[in-house]
Amino acid sequence: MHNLNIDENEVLRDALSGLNEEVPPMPEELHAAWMQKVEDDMEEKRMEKNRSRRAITRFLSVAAAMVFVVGGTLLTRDDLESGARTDGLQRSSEYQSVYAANDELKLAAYDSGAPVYGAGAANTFTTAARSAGGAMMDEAAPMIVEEEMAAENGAAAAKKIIRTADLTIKTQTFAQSLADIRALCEAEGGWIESSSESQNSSTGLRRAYLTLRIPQDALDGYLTGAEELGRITSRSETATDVTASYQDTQARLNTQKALMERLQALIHESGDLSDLLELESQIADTQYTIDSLQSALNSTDRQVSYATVSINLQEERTPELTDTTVSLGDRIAAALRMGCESLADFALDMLVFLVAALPFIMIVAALAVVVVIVRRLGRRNRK
Amino acid sequence: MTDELTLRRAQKGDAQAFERLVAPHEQTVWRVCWHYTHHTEDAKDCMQEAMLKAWRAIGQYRGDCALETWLYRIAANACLDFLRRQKRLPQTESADEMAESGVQPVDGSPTPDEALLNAESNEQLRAAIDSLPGDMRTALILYALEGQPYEAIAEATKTSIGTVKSRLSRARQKIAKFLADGNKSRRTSSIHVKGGQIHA
Repeated sequence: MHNLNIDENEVLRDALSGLNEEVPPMPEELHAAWMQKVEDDMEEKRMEKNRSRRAITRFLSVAAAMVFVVGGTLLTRDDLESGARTDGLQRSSEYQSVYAANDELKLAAYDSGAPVYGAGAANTFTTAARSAGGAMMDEAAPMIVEEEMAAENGAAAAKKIIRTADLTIKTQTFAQSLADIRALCEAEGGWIESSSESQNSSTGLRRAYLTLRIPQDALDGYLTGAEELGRITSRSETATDVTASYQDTQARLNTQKALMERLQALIHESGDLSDLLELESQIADTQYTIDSLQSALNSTDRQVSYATVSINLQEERTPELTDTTVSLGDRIAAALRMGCESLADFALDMLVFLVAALPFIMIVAALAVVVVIVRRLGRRNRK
Repeated sequence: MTDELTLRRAQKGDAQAFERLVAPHEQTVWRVCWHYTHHTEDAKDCMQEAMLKAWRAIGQYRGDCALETWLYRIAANACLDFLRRQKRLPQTESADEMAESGVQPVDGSPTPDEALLNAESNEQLRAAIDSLPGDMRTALILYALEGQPYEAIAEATKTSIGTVKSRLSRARQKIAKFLADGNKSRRTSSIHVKGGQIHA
């Protein structure tokens, strides 16, 4: 390391001082020249920035469009496909709501125990008849409780189960199978509630729908026999316990019967004409209620006693034996075909989506045109 | 507008702000370029290149040294690059050369200082300066011709003051030897510079 002092290097300044006098003045145009280079570089950077920005904008636009089209197609393809069926579904649901409303009205009538027919007359009691009716209801209440308790005690032996079964049977001997189904039904002590037959016009295959009523005790035997008449493709069974509602209806019926006895006793005791008329009217209404409840119990008894079996019998042809081994070439061809079909389906779905989205696309396009025009005008004004 | 604001605007890409910022130092940059090249057209090219580099690098200037020092650095690098392209820049001397040129004469020949002060013409001196490698030449130009202190030269060359003094001493000895040898027509060979690069 040199141990220098300033004096040694000062000689350089002294020796070279003359060289500074030789430096010519800076040319006048040099400032403009380097400034021009700077401005050219600035312009080049600005254009590069604009080019990058445009490239990014284009890329993002294409990406956004693809996301919109592909995403929209995937999300809406099922909805657009099922759009044609919505009218039918809506009508079906309207019918269902009407049926549901009717059912509710019927249940309300049964629950109230009051007759639907002649309800206005039944509500206009004289004071005596009303109080007598109230007293009768109070007297009948303990009777109802006693009957319900008796019903509960005997519940284990009085269960009400409604059984149903649905079978779909395919057979190559349609006529024979159909005859066997009928014969089996009669042999088990049942009867045919309804039946219908049809034939496919293009394939010639026959089909039959039968609704059978089979004694509950014989149901299992019948189903076992029916399974041997062809190839079972579907089978379902249900068992609905209606014991509680049956007992409830039974109790109401007993109440109404007790009420009837009291009314009839009152008729014999009453001498007043207006009271007699009122009592007659009440007796008529009560009788109607008794008939309705009894009818409901009878219907339930029938359903419990005889199970409902629905059979869908379908004719089929003898299947042809084919070689199930698949070669690699076949698999590849099948995969390629499936791929092409999927692509074609997707393209069609995309077309449907674009048509469905056309109003929105047109609105967005119009807005984009407005924005571009405004920006161009702004740029022109700034220049 | 204050220098701080002008600098910020220049760093954000305002060419006019950049012009206002560096215009006071134009003459300095011109002189440095001329001292390196001794040729008006070459000096013009170097200066335009230096200013363009300064414009592109202004965003990296953090104010850790004076703007003039920073410009010295850029101008010197631009000139060295130019000379390198023109193959007019000698190679950095080897250790043997350093050892050889450090030997004091014992035979009555003029000392380096005497040789320096007795130089016959500025042309001789310029030729001697041209024989120096880049690091020594830069230190010499900034010290002897631009009158910069050691601290400023150290900042401009990103070295220490000791290194600057050492380079100046070596430059002095080499010039003296050149002049003493009387080789007025020495030219640099086509070799690449290994050192002497000043980082902007």
